[in-house]
Amino acid sequence: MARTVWLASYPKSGNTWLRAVHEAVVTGSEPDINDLGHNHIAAARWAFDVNLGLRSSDMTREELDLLRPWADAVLAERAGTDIWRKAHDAFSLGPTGEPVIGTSTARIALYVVRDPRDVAVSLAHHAGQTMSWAVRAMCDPDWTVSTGSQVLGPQLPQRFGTWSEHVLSWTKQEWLPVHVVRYEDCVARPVETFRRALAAAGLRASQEDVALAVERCSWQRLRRQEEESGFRERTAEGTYFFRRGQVGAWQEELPVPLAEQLVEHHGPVMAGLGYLEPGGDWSPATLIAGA
Amino acid sequence: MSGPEADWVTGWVPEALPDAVYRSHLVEAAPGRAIFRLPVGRFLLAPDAPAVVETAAGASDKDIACMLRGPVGALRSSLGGRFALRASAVEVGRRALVVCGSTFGVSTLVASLALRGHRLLADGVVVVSGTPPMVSALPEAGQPRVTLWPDSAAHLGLDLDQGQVLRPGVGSRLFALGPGGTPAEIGLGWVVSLAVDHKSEHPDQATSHPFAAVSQRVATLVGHQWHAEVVAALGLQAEQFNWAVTIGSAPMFRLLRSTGSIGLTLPPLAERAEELAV
Repeated sequence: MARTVWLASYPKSGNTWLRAVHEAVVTGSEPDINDLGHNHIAAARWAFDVNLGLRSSDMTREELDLLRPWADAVLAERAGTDIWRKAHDAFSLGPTGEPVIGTSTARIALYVVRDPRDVAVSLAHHAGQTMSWAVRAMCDPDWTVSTGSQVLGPQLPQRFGTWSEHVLSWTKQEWLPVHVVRYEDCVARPVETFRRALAAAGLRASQEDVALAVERCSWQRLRRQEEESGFRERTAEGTYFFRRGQVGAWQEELPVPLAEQLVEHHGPVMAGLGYLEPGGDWSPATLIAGA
Repeated sequence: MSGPEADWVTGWVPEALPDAVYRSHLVEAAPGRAIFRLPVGRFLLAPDAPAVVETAAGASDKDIACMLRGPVGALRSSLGGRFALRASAVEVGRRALVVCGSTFGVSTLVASLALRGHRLLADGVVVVSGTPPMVSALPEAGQPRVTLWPDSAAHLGLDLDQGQVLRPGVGSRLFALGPGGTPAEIGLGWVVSLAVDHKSEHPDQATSHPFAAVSQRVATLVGHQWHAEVVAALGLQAEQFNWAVTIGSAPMFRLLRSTGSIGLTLPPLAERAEELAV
């Protein structure tokens, strides 16, 4: 039976890059960034409506949280093969104690994590907001997007919470297996890191195939596609979704007080992931211990 | 007790149908009847009888009526062989212009057309039946009203307080817009499928393309049909296919809007839709 592979992450953490590499491995060609596997983000309004035969716009927030896992299950049941879907929600439970993200037909979650200081820089550019705004959002336990009391958008409400809470919600939950992928490892050792992630989700690919996929998904190539064809996930005018992608760019772009604020809020989880020392390593054990 | 706005009665509804040929998390269907399980209650449906509703604790009449005007009513209509599109419609020159789409903005566009003098026929569920195809609203819908969110209402210059609350806990409002008059079944004129052009950098422009192949039209229409899988499981595939082919004989266009604010896109979209309906 087809299952869902959740590609979960806090926004601007490398999720799209992983999706692109997966697509390149599966198709054996350079992926179209506007057509990554035809599969909807977890909170896609249209997917909810079509798969349940309902109008999400007529539903309350509680009803949506209750019904979303059913929509996920229907989508997986109708698929002929495993479907890889992006999720930015924190892993949380709905009104009946069931996860809002569908787990009954899920195979695994590949959780992509990135140094929150680099996330803050990327998030600010992506949202067309200030760095202060991004840092404040990443420290807000109630940070939720698409809440929809005034505007009907293409996505359903998604609660992100703080960066630390998001990381721990996915890595400590016991509803489905999780494989953690550090963005920094994707940059430093892309073939090895992506190959292990794909294998964890049941997709065996040769070293050569993954190397070719990584080449086809280089930052330069993805950026060129965005320049030529646009990118549907870009939100702010005057910036690119594939903007820089560099590890440690926060040291040049993020004001010191804001970087310190992030360390103050997220220090234990950052330490557990090796982000507080240059070239720091990590393991699931250090992550749990840090938290 | 009857519902205040729709054709329904409260009563006991079974958990399941023993002879169901279609089962999902929400719907069970057998020939001629179905159960729809929703957070606001459980609905027992048959084509020519009032819906029986076992309401959930805390659910209001508005909650029930909202579902009956939407997906539940669409399923009941389909059980009787009157299939429905996820779409909205206005009258243009005594024929129906039906707007469907996989993007948000359909109701807003139709509201804009109503404000430009075209009679609103239906919003959300458009029943199309017969040969030649005729368009109507669900009988449960009552007076045609369009559901708008506050931002869309603002773009259209509407006072939010003039709209009726759809249901508690949901931000959208119902508006009766455009010329009044008794809604009638009228002939299908055109079908427009609204989509987003991600490459467009001109929010004040709208473009359109005709659907060239009949197969493409049929696939698009079935893709926008309410409860297509239930209909197929009930053995109505042939009727469903003929239905889509009949509708597909009408002029059909893909209307593209930019990714920008719907407010900027609305005037050119409405003008383009009017140009297509000639």
